[in-house]
Amino acid sequence: MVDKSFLVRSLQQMVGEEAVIWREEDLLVYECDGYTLEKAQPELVVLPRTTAEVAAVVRFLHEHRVPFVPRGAGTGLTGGCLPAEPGVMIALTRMKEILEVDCRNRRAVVQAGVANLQVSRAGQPYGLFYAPDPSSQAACTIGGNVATNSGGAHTLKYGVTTNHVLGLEVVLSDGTIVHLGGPAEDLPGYDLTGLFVGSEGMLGIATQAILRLIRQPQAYQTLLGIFDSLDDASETVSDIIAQGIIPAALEMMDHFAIQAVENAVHVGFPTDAEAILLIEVDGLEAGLAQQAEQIEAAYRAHRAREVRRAANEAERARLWRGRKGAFGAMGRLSPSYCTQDGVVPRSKLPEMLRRIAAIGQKYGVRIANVFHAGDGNIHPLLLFDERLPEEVERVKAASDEILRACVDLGGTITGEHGIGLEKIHHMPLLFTPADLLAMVQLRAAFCPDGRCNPHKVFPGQASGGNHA
Amino acid sequence: MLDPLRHLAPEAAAPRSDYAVQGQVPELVLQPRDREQAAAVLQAARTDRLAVIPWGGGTQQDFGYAPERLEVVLDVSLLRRIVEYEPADLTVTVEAGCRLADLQAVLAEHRQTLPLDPPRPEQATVGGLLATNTNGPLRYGYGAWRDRLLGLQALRADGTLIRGGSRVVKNAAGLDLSKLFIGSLGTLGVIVEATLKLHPQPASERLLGLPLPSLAASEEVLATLMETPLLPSLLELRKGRESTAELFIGFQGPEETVVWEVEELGRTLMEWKKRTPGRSAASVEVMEVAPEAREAVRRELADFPAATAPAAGRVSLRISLRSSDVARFCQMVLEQADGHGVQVAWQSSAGNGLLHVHLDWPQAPDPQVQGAWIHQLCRGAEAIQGHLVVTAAPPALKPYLPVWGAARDDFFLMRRVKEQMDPDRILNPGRFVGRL
Repeated sequence: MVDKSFLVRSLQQMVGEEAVIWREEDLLVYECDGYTLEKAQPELVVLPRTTAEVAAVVRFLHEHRVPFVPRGAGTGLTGGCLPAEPGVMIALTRMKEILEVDCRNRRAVVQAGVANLQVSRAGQPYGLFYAPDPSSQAACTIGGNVATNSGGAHTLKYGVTTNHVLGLEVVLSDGTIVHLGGPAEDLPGYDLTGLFVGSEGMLGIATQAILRLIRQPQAYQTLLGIFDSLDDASETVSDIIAQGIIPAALEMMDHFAIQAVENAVHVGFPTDAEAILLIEVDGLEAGLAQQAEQIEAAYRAHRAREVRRAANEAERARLWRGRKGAFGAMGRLSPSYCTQDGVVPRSKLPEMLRRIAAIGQKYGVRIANVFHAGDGNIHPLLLFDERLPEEVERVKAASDEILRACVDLGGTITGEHGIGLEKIHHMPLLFTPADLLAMVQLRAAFCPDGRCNPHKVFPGQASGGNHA
Repeated sequence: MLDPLRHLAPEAAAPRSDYAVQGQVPELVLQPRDREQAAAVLQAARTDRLAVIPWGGGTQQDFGYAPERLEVVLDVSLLRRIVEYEPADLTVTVEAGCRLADLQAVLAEHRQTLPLDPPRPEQATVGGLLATNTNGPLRYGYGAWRDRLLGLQALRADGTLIRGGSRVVKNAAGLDLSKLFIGSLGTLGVIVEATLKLHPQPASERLLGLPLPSLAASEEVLATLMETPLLPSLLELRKGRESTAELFIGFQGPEETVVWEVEELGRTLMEWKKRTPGRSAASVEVMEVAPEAREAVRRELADFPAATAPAAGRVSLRISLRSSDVARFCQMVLEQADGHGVQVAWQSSAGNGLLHVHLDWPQAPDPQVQGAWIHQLCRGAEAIQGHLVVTAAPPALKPYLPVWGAARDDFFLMRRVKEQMDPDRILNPGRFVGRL
């Protein structure tokens, strides 16, 4: 590893003194992301302001063979921006300009450090918004969304990040600046934008994105059903989809999550309910009330003990508050919790929930379930005390079994959080050696020496960025 | 060299001349019954560095450059099973050789659909449509193949089976190889299976036609529509029967919604006419396509990009632009064509900025002159961050044409991707962008 003071001085010349963080006490805040089970400090952190600065920094690091890790807001949940070996962290948080909002063509061009919610705010005066809305959207950056192909609660209807990114400006690991995609559609050649989205910072650093904006829904209808059985709630979902309705959101919570939320937020949930199912349809006002009627009928047909329907925006916010308060409410029950992320085909949700309950019992771990019932994306919340190593081990084991169960039922090991560090060893559950080889080879096409976010995602990488 | 391959998979019954690609006839056409046979063929071809061209419905083999070499055509149309279909999940996994129309028929039994309407669905296969990224008018309302593809399985040039994406609607594990295959013309692998995201069949539908006096007026109307809350399923602009242009607007969804949208369209148009001086604007009226005529009109719109030429010599282009640039660019093409004495047929998925153009020369033209003009159009598109590709042209003319347009600055990455995925250049060599 290159002499640190030489690195600091050289980088300071490129981005200015205040943009290089090298003091121990200042580096602490960069030692982990939302995945708090692992921590590692970078040698130093650089905060460039422009694409040219990013390219200059990366070129310099390339010349001196220094590994680097791109970072957005650090809200990731799998250790994706943790430095897995000594190197430099390149934080994009100062690159937060919205460069263009083109209403006629429904495009926005933004720097990678722009917060997700800011994009929708920029479109708001024109009746447009940016659809992918992970719950961290007030903080998480577009660059981070691109890295993990972020989803959110509305993906069944609106898709995920990759469906809303038309092009990217990228700095490759040798400092070359390239443009993938563009404002026009169906550009010939390989869809490198599609490959880059979800590549978890391994192919280069996205510095700018061309995003698709869509029309804000004219109206919403939001309903909440309270059930005595998870199966009844799941069947309601299947019924609604079979009737040809694609809700914008379908959120479910189980008994434990309901109790936690009610004790914390007091939204009026009965603490003996087995399941809460929140359904929101959006779109043109004409026809929406009819859909709400159909949904209400479906709730009752599947034995909902109570159905609530929002009559206005304030009530709508109240119905959502319970769901949005779920993660925060866990903090009252336990010093730490782990938000797991897996996907099963929707028709397998009831079976998956049974398996999670059994796994919780087996390892003596309390697990609350909050999930996107529309796309089968589960978020079991495993409660523990991270000061107790034995509990941590049990949580890891339970987590592992949950992911295996997802794959066993035909699903996948991550719906939106990505692999990062956390799930490297689970990749072989889903992919054969041939699959992984193809991915590693494609990674090599972009970053031959593996110095861009090394030791993430793929198992079996030797030190120094060589790939299996 | 080819004899060992003959035993690995059945030879196609149809004559080899049926599998000609831009005038070249393959030496061998094999039609594997399953993916294991297909893999064996690829493995064997690699040993002798034989070029293999994947073949689905054969509807778009005019695309791209002429093949560098053409030893083996691998016809995957016998791989056509529906592997897994769970209507409650809104996903289907289907083999690549399945014709799109056959898939749609199965989905329709459960009142579901794959909301994509490319040309010739009875002939085109799912794999071929993915490999050429062929979409249709419904892309405006529902997205393109990349928005429907959840995952796929493909055979690499050495016969190894790889998977990209998954079978569920949301997946963030690993690199998304599946996107890379869309539009790749079979140069990275032979798609054998795809998992697709479905949509319920809409309860109701309406199709409206709006004759417009000029292309400038067309852009005004499009811009006006963009400001309304309307959510059309399609927006197709083409030359009108009796007017300069005609805009087709489709709505799909619940009956009440669709009815409101038709009324709102009428109100929007009246507002526009009030704001717009001149008799030509005043004469614009929305016409609803009668329900019994709707399917035929939609079919006509969907088939336009593949429309067969009245005589040999047709050059077909697909131009990608920002939506707001379509009308102006189209106007320029028409004016220049007029100056060159060329007949133009055109249609645009105007909401998506795609302009399809068919050019016919009444007399045998000078290929240099033809080529020079199309190169000029290509540069014109690129100057406004757009692009132009030649979707069909007589083989003899191709060397004069910008078949794939100019390489963009990420081309070197595409070359590296090809080198990693198919270092021996077995798969469709020389056809694709930059002769990859």
